[in-house]
Amino acid sequence: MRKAVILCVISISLTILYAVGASAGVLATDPAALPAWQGTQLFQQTVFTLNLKANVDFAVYSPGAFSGSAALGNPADPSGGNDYVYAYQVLNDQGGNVSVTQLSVGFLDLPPNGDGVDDAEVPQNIGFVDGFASPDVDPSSSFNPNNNPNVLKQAADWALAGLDPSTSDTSDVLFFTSPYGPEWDNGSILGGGLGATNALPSPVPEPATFVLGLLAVCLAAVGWAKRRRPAG
Amino acid sequence: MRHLTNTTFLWGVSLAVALTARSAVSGPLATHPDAFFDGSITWHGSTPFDSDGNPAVLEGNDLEGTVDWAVFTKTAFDNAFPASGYSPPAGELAYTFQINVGGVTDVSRLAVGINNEPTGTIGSFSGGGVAGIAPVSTSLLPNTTSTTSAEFSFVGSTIPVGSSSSGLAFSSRRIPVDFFGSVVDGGLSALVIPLPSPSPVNIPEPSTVVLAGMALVLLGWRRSRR
Repeated sequence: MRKAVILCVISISLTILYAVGASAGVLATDPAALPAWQGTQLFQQTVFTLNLKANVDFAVYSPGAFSGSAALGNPADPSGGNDYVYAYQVLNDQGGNVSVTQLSVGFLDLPPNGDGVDDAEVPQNIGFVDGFASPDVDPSSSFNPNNNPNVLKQAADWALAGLDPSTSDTSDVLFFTSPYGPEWDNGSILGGGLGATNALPSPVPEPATFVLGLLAVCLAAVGWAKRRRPAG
Repeated sequence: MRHLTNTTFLWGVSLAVALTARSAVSGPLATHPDAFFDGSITWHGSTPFDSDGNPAVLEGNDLEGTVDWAVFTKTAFDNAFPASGYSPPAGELAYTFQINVGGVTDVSRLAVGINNEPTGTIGSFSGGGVAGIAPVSTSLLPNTTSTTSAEFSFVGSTIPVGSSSSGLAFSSRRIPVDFFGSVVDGGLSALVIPLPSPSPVNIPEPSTVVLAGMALVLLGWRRSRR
């Protein structure tokens, strides 16, 4: 009887440990993601007694790879497998003492983490993969300034219910899609009146796009010069 | 001693900002004549923010702007902003804010830090010259018994560059102290310091004020008899 109780306690403990392990950090080690574009960034700011300190896991999936992610439960890809998927998860488990209420990922390429060149990244399909948040509260998500596809975007925003550090709360897996691959840009989290900024992956138009654009400009210039050249 | 150090630091930052900041467009909260006077300070002002960490110079090239603020008694707030969509509970002060966005990116959230003090209600208001984009949601976290932040979220309806928020408010029975807040977007965050926030000290209740007055009268009477 005593042996059965001990076995029961051990199995329950292992189950809890496994569950915690499974819910935290899934993006940083997902084999379906681009290896060079997955990992964890620490976000921290402390003023007086308040300490905002949380990790953000991130992963970028090449077109078609997102729905093949077993770690994410083979989620539906809102781009139909045509675009890159940018995924993030906030983990308030680093010993801070304030709740995290928002994740924002920038597209303006501003300093300190952007390259200063504001590209048209065309982010689309903002949302989240349910089932990864603890407790299970869905975020509200929106592009900034809005979800109109014809308006240039400044940031992707996910308003969170308030991830409590005392219970190591985590967000769902938060994502958007883009036809373009990653570069570094600014990401920020907020909570307790504090904000912390660090580098997170964000889309950039591929070099081929720039080359095509440059070619178009060159051809236009040649055409203009030919038209201006005197006849004969 | 730590409180003194914090206060000294905050006043130093405030003075530096006040001496060097470019003039920013301020709304009525920044100079409101009916703001709460605690015996030495009238609680109103305007605090610049800048994501490059230097709010003294707003270059217009990142997350920038100002947050106007004022603290009111319930009577003063209800008289200044009647039928505005918000009214603090009886016996509590209204802590009010308005965000003015400059720079190159919209603002999607203001979080006002609170040092684990009790709060009452939270909301937004328009009227009395205070108007703009209303928040999508508001919350006091983690709870109203021991709050660490008052959150005003504009996710889904951000405040564009060159625009302002509506009036933002929360209440507390505690008198104000200089603290801080943060704003976010364009993927950037900026500290807004100082902002008023509830201190550990309660508003003196009317009965306390009456008792103190009676004690002073008695002291005076006793002295005159000698």
